[in-house]
Amino acid sequence: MAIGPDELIYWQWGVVKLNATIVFTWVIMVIMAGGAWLITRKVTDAPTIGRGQNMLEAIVVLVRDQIREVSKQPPDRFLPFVGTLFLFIAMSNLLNIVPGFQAPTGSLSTTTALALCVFVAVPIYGISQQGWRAYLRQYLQPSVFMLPFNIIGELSRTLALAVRLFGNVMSGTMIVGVLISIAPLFFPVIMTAFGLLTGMIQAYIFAILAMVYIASATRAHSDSAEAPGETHAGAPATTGLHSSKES
Amino acid sequence: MLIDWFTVVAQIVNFLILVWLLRRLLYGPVLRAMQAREARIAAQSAEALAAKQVAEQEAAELRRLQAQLEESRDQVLAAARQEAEERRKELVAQARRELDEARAGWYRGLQAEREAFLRELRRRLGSQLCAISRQALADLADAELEARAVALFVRRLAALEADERARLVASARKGTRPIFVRSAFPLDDAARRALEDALFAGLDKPNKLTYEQDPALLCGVEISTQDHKIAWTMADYLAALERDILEHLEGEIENGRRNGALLPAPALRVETTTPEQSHAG
Repeated sequence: MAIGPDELIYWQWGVVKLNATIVFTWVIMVIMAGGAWLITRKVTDAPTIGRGQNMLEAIVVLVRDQIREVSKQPPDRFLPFVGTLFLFIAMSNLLNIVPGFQAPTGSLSTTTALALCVFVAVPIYGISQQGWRAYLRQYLQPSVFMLPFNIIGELSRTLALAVRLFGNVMSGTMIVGVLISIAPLFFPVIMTAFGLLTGMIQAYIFAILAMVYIASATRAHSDSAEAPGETHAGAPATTGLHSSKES
Repeated sequence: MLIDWFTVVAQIVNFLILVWLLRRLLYGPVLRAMQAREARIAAQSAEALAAKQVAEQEAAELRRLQAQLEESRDQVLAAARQEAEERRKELVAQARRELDEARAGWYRGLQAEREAFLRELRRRLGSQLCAISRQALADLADAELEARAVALFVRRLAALEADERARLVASARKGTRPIFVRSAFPLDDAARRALEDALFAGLDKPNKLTYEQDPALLCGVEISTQDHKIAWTMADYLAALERDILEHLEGEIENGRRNGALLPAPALRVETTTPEQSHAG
């Protein structure tokens, strides 16, 4: 029994292979980029706009608002990365209801790849925001003895990010597969619809958690740079709470 | 093994490409469009705000002008009203004046008419009275009354100053005209003798007297020369009475006019003259 789209290999040459994960990722990329191109080539700043532009603007505004809310920072720096995370996962999970479609997020390779992207993006954003020393000093907080635990936390949360998304999507697919063998008519439909909801939630959680990690890496500098008693002083606690709640 | 590391690398590459693609095709254009729209809306809003301020200023200016206009209109209206009121008062006063004048004129006319009427009435009354008296005396007069009148005349002549009689006689003597003795009825000889005696008592008898009869005298005797006359006749009495009445009435009317009030017509007062007031002329 195939546990993911990775095993569905169309073409292979040595270690290089073309499996369903990569192919359907390309499909999603084509759909998203093509759709965006089709719509935004006619983009206008007129007071009246088309439906497509309206939809895209709604999505972009939604993502920006979420980023701003979580990070308490100007959102446009994080928008391409976090927004693409959300949109890619959401699109992947949405297309899961199409028969024959293999969601790339159902592959642990894909989720690992996304989690590794987050794992790398967090120090990049943090260092670009506050420099090497200030970023690395975070791992020594609150004391030097916490360094191993900070590093473990960094790794484990990346692992959790990858496995959580994979487990949710894969399990949804598995459940539908199991239910088809048991009750082929009614329950798979319900579970697919349920999987749609789960997929959206997972996309949201993944993007929000990535944002939280990046925000915590970048905001430490903002907090230390700002005068004591500023309103941002309590923000890390909020993100910590947010993170623990979502995971 | 659930993780295929080639797939992982491929997916990382795919994801980064997707990030780049969406950044170019989605986020960039959409954000630019939104910012442009926001900028334009802000510009329009600022423009609208400016236009609104201008409109408010113009509205305030218009309100000020309107208030000014209303104020001036009120002033003009008040002035016109005052002028009309003055004009009305003037017209009313003028009308009243004209009315007063007309009434006064009418009143004067009425008074004049009434005075004329009264004067005429009084004149007629006096004339009528005299005429009636004349008629009554004419009816009463006869030879007997004449004789008594002559007797009275003779007594009066005797009582007259001698100078008077002398002047009469002298004038008769001086003039060419004889002494005329007129009476209403023919005098008998006795009466003539008594008359002559009384007339020429103590004087030279100049010439013969000429006796004439004149019914117009009514009763009595008149002795006249060229420029002297001694008479006692009813006609003289009546003429004196009539003259007296008319003079009196004229005086009354003059008094009434001078007093300004239209007095009621006074009761006719006829003062009877005594024979002692006989005119000698």
